[in-house]
This record gives sequence, C-alpha cells and structure tokens, in this order.
Amino acid sequence: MISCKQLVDLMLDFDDGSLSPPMHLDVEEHLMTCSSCVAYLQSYRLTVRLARQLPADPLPQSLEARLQEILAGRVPPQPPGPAAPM
Amino acid sequence: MGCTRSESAATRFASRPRDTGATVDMDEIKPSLESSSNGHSDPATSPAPETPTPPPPTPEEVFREHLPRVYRLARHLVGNDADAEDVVQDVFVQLMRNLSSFRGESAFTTWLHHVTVNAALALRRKRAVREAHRINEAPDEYLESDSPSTPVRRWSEEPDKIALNRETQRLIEEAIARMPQTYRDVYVLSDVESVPNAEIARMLGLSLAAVKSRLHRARLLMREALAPHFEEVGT
Repeated sequence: MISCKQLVDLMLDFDDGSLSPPMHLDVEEHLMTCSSCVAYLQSYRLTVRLARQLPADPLPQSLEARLQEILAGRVPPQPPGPAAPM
Repeated sequence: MGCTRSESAATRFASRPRDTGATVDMDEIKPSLESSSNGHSDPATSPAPETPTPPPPTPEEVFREHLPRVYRLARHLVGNDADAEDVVQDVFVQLMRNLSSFRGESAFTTWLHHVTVNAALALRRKRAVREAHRINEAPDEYLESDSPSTPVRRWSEEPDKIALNRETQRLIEEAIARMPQTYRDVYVLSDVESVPNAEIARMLGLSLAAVKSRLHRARLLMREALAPHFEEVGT
C-alpha cells in the first residue's frame, strides 16, 4: 500500500486522470482507509476551485484612458514588445 | 504515517453530521476532473467545433472582457502594478494590430495568453528581476513536511460549501505573491487563468512534467496558506 506522502505526490495526477490503472487503484485503496488523506485531498481540491473563482482586476482608470487614447490614434503607442507566435 | 485507519477513520467520519457512512465515500475521492481540467482537456487538441467561428472581439469587448484578465495575469507575473500596466499596454498595441485576423474565441484567448506571458517575461528580463531561482532552495524540504504525517485537521466547513469571499480572495492573492516566481508563473496560468498544462509548457518552454511538478508544489503551498483559515479549531 502506498504511503500518505506518496499519495500527496500523486494527487495532481490522480485528479487529472493520468495515473496508470494500477496506481490509480492504489490511490483509491489508500483513500478508502485513510481519513487524513481524504481530508487533505478535499482541501487540495478546494484550493484549486477557489483560485479559479478569483475575479479579474478592473483596469486602473489612468491606464484605460491611456489605451483609449491609443485606440483613437491620438497618441502613438510605445514601442511594442516582442511579437508573439500566432 | 498519517493514516487513521479502519474504525478510527470511520468514527471520525460518522461523528460529523454530514458524514453518513462508516467508510470513506468513494464519491468524495473520485478524481475531480472538473476541478483539474488542465489534465487532459486541452482545447488545442479538441476536435474543431462545427458551429461557425465567431467574429473577432470588438474593441469594446476587448476593454470590457479581456483586458482586465490580461491585467490580472500581468500583475501576477511581474509582481507590481506599474509594470503590469506597461505589459497591458504592450499587449493592447499588439492586439489592435492583429484583432481583425482572429477567428474563434479559443484561438484569441490562447494568443492573448501567449502575448501577455511573452510581454511579461520580456519585461522581467529587462528589469533584471531574476528571483526565479529562489525555487532551487528549500521547496522540496518545505513540502516534505507538508504531507499528512499527522492526522489532518478537517476544515471547519464542508469543502464543497466554501465559496470565495473577500477574505479568502485576499489570502489567495497574498499566497500567490509569496510564491517563488517559477511556481507562481505556472500556478497563475493554470489555476487562475485555466490555461491547459500543455499550453503552459509551450509558453514557458518547459516539459509537461515540469509544469505539473511545479503546479503541484504551488498548490501545496496554496493549501498550506489557506489551511489555518479553514481548519477546525481544537480538532
């Protein structure tokens, strides 16, 4: 049977389904008998869920005004950064 | 070892009002693919949608829906508001030049993430902010003590019932700010921006295994940061 530490190391792979079937079963077996690891896994998942709910920040008014000026062609933009692959 | 096995585990579960069985409910521990959608649901590999591709966003939509997310990502990547504003402006200029060429929301958001990451990393290099290698010391040792070597305190509320509020948001933001840079990059892209892991690997020039390893460690750090806030007192 895998240890608690091994289980923690496998949590991400367990949740994204990338564990091999035997390893997946090992994790499930451990969880069936270890309430500490169940609680740990639940809290691990909770942190993921909460982070995904973070709201986006509103743009600072001064920045939005500057971008609107650029959009309107009233001020030249600063030199652009490196181009990204399309 | 942290296992509280058999009857002990059963007692702990049965003692709580919402716990119904003497053994761990398998529904509680089945992989939560929804909560970890970055594993195998890479949109880049999904079949092409059959519906007509939507038109590119209008400048108004860019301002209202996309730039706030660009700003959030930039702020997390560069670590301060002033540099984040420079990144947003850089991204905005590139965006306006290319806006008409986009077809489809997925391609657009993927491109936007790429441009934002490139601009932020370029700015970081320019600013010679190289704290990234802080990661090379200590994290493994730190995380060594993070596994449940002693019985884990249950959290005071059922995890499914806990929602993001202002206080939790503050705790998460502070924990992100404290993360070593290389963990933070991956964490923010994955768990805040929901970018698929394979895409993060391409953006940052990492292997998929490296992305997952850093993400897991970052999540453990985040869990550690939130635990004191949610753990039951005296259990």
